[in-house]
Amino acid sequence: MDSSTPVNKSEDYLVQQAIKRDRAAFTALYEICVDQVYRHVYYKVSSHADAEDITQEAFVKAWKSIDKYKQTGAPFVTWVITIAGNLVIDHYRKQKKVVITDEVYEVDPNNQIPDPAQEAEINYSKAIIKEAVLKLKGDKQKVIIMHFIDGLTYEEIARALNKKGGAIRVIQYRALNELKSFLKRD
Amino acid sequence: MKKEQILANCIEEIRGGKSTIEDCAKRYPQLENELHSLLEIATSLQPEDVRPSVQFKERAKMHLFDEDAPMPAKVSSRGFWAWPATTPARVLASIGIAIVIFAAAGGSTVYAAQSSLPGDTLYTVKTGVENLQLAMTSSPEDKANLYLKFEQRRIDEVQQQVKLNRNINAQALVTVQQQFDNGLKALSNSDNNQANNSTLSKLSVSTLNQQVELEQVIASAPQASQPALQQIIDETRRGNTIAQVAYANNDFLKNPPSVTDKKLDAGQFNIEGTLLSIQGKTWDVGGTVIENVHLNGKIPDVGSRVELQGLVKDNNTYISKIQVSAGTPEPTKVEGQFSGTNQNGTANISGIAVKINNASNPPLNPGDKVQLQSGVNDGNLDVTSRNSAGMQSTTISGTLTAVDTDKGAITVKVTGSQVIVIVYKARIENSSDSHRTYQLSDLKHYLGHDIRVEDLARHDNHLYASLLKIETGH
Repeated sequence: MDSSTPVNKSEDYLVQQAIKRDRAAFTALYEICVDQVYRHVYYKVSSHADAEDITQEAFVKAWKSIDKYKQTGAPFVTWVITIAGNLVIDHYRKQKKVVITDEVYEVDPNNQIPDPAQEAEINYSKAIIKEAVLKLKGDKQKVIIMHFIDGLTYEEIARALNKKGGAIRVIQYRALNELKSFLKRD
Repeated sequence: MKKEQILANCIEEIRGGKSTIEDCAKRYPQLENELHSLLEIATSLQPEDVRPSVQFKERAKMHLFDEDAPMPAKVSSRGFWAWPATTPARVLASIGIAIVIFAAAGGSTVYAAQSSLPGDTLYTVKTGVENLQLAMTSSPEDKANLYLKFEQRRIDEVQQQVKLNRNINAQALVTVQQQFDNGLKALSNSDNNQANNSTLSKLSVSTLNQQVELEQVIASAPQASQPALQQIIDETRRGNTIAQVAYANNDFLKNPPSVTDKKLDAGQFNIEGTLLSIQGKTWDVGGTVIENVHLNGKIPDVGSRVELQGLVKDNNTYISKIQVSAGTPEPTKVEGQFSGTNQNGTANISGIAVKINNASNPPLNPGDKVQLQSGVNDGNLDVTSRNSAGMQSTTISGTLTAVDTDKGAITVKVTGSQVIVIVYKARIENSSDSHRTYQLSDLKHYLGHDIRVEDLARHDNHLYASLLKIETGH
């Protein structure tokens, strides 16, 4: 891809080509979106192995149904994220909420040795907030994750969810209030 | 503007580094508390620094077009957990390990974030987690402790940045001040004096250490960082003053003080004399009148001799220490900072109106630290000592509770905490007779007396002092 080409224009072009079953164009879209889709899925499943499975399956499904894709002005990645989100729901149905992890953490030898108490505190806090976010239902969870985790703007989220920007801000306000009540109660 | 729009604007400003939670919330006074708590949560929501491995990305790319396959080929290598679900080992392990391992929440990011410094990419993760902890905390006492814990972190970060030769800018100053002031504000919302005093006791010691440590690093800091560093030192010193006064007198927190308030530097005083009268909250000590006195404890009898230490703020006089003895006709002594002449011609010494014998004294300059003394109860004082405003060395004033001649250390009780200071190289004087010096072992005779420890320094987590003054009383 010509690096001087604006991303949105080149993405539009790639999407048009992919709809025409151009594998090279879809592969290029995959390259653009895979990190973001993976991060979104990982946030929800907290397992690299599951995130890999679901991410791969989301792209396979996206290719299968690319002819149904409608350009709404939202980035292409939001469509794949929606597919991945549904796969995460299926994943949890199959798992019946038993959470298993076999994570091995890479320790950067250049990092300072962390204070174990502080590390535990940060890990705990991050897990608590994630648990609260995953308790949110429907659009509230979608808006919070799309905005804060996926880094999408209000307008991009509005297009992806087929709503107005003002509605997204209202959902965000309600979602943050709900998170507040979860966190205080917990 | 609707509140969801205000919230969205604040979130974008904070994420863009253009504002802080406090600044944005304060712009909307009617929504301040609600906005503050929602912004704490919003800023704690951080993306995780996770990326798929290169190997996975390449393998998955190869299988993108396996359209005919009913399910995509699994490309991840799961190791132990890839065994069939019916394998007894997995079933057993599934039952036994139905545990959410919190470290799953982005292990490597967390590792890096906790040691990150302002300006680092992951610093927002660190502060985001802190905001979350605040959002999850309801009680004002716990909230105050958290703010003051984070204030300590900000100071540690400042020191780390100096070691790395990074500039300390005004933002560092603002964040230290905000954590301090938010902590004090949280304490002011608490009715639990016992919990407050425990926090204030810790704050008194932590600010003392912070002040000493920062005074040591300022010399090696880049020139451009020194003004901000000096202001941070000033804030820790005021934090220490606030802790000491509020510990003795919880009223002081009712109108939450701020570490940015320079009046705290000028408002500290000592006065010693005969308590001539008490009318309501107005005390006359040896002819010098003190207004709006706040004392936590028993009011002394008129006629007794009192030695008061305290702070004047917003026309209120908060007594942080009082010693009462039998009344004997002795001179009145006042110690404080001159800040100008009142309309009625009296001198303003730390907020107290003092009559000075102008004829016998050269004019004072605002900021001068002065000691004054009068005849017996005549209320007219002469300047006996003056020092122009300048750098003050860090000192502790407290009660001597232990002397360890083997280790060359003493223990001083300050605002409920025991502070150990290594003093084997210190000169030991009597405050009323600086020509006489003492040995460390002599101090055992002064257990329970007040002591002033001066010229503090900190090495290897120990406090050292080079000058001790025993306050033997009068």
